[in-house]
Amino acid sequence: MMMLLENFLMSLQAIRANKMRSLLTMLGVIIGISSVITIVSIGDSMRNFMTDQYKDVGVNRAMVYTRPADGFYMENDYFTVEDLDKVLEAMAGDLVYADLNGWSNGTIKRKTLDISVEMQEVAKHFENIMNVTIIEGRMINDADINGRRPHIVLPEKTALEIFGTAKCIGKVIEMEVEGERQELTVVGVYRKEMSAASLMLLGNPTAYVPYSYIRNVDNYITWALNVYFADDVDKEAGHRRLTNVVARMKNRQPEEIAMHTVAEEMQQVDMVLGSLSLAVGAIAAISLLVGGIGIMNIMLVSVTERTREIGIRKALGAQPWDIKFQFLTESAIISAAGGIIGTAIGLATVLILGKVVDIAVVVNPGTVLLAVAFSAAVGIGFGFYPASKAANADPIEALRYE
Amino acid sequence: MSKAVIRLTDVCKTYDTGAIQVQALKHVDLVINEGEFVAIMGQSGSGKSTLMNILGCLDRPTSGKFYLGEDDVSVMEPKELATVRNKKIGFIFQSFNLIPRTTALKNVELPMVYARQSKTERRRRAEELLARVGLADRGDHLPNELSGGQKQRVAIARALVNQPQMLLADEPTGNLDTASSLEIMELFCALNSEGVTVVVVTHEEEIASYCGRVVRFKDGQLISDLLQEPARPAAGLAGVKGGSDL
Repeated sequence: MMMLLENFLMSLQAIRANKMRSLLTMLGVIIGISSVITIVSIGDSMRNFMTDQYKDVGVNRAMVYTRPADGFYMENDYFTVEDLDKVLEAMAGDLVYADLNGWSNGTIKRKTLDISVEMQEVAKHFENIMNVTIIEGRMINDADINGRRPHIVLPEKTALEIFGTAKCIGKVIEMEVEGERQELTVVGVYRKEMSAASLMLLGNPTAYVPYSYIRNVDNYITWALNVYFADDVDKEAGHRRLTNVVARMKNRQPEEIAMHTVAEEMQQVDMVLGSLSLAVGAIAAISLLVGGIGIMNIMLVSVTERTREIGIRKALGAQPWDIKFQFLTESAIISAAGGIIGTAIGLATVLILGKVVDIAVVVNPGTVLLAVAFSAAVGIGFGFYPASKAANADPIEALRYE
Repeated sequence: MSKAVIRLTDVCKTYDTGAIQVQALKHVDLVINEGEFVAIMGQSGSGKSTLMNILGCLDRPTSGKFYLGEDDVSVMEPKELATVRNKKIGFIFQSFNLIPRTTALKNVELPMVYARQSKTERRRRAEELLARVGLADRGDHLPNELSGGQKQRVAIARALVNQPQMLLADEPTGNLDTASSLEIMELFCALNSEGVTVVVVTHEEEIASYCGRVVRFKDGQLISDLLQEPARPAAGLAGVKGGSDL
């Protein structure tokens, strides 16, 4: 115990005596540790961010469509408004909302630059799954849908773009939708907080219109249904029930009904991101190895330089272990200090990056612990050979060394 | 007859340099008793450095026996030799060999660190010995802030710190001016008169003249072993370097 403290103080002194050299040696470890922590944390933050995005879209959401075993689609395989109502009826306890997965794009002609508006064609009970804040007017309601009214709810950003103000309830927008001129009255404006990163990922928020106005409900067909399960429904059982209902309706085998869920997509993205950050992390770990070799190199120089000192210590009765321990302590201190500084830099980088792109930062304490433990191990591991060399030096030769 | 500190019996040392074998020591018999002040003399190549290394337990004889006190050093392993060097021998070198960038006090404490002594005991004993060699106020000085004579006195304090059975000095005044040499020899005389066994390896007759016994080597063999009346330090040292007033 006493020897430990004594060694620690002696090592600190030796490190202080060669400040520049020690710092440069540490640099390898600092770069290694900080890049490992930065990269792994960025990966973790990205995964966390993606998960949140998907949760935002809704873990309750699923898309269902037919996928004939023989590859030939029949007219019956498409979904009509009637089908939508049938499914909602059959799945009354399970689903809170369903629509025909319709999207359209409107263009507002301007002298200079046309404004493009992405519109989601919503069905009845949309308020059940609405996850936005209305700041002006109201959301599309069942009366709009039943009455096929030419109403539209705009995101705040688009409202500002078109009218220069969010207070635009009752104003009429003229736009071209799929080649036809339409006039839509604004009934509501909503706001949705989106970070810079989610804007990048999901694009601009969409406007909402009643599907019954945009589409001719009598001959409207789509390839998929877009459904939302209730929160308390067991997803697996719910999916199975939905598959059976759709299979029966479309005269298909349950195996021919395909279902896209957010959870499924989430898993895939998570897997890709996970293996990506693992691969990049592994590359960063190589720089740690290089840092370790730097430590070994400098310790070998240090041992040679201090050969005479080693001789003196041995003449005064130092055991080989004392000498070995002294040099091991020194390399461990260099790498541990490098590890701590590297951790600080890595964490700072992650926090600053998180602020810049406006993502909630996730730092896994296990990652930090692992990186620091690894750097200490690198120091001791790579310090071992130089320390043994010092410990086994012949005292007579060492004393004679100039 | 007092107790023997050193007993060499038929000690040989052969260096194997590949093609040729060099016999550095040939059948040396030597006994040094407690409280003696012995000079070991010889030209370079006479084998006195080899003897010094063996006496200092830095090296082992090729054949023969070497007893340090009661212990047979010639059969010891390197680890045990380290312990013997630490506890029983006080080294003093021509080039002082203080640890650089380390205070005088820490230098004196070092052998006690390797002897696993407590911090307070180390501090107390190191301060006591620095005072004994007249450097009580220089404990926190670094070696490069001390004069040659002061460095050598720190080295002597360091050699004494674990109460060794003998002081082993290798050309202790070789790097010193006349005045400092005088100080150091006075210090050795004083220590010897307190009962410390001192062995000085030197090639200077003037240094040897302060010892009560002179052992001479030539070509690896002991050629003479004489007792003599030691010169008094104050009178004699003027002639060690340069001057010839006497």
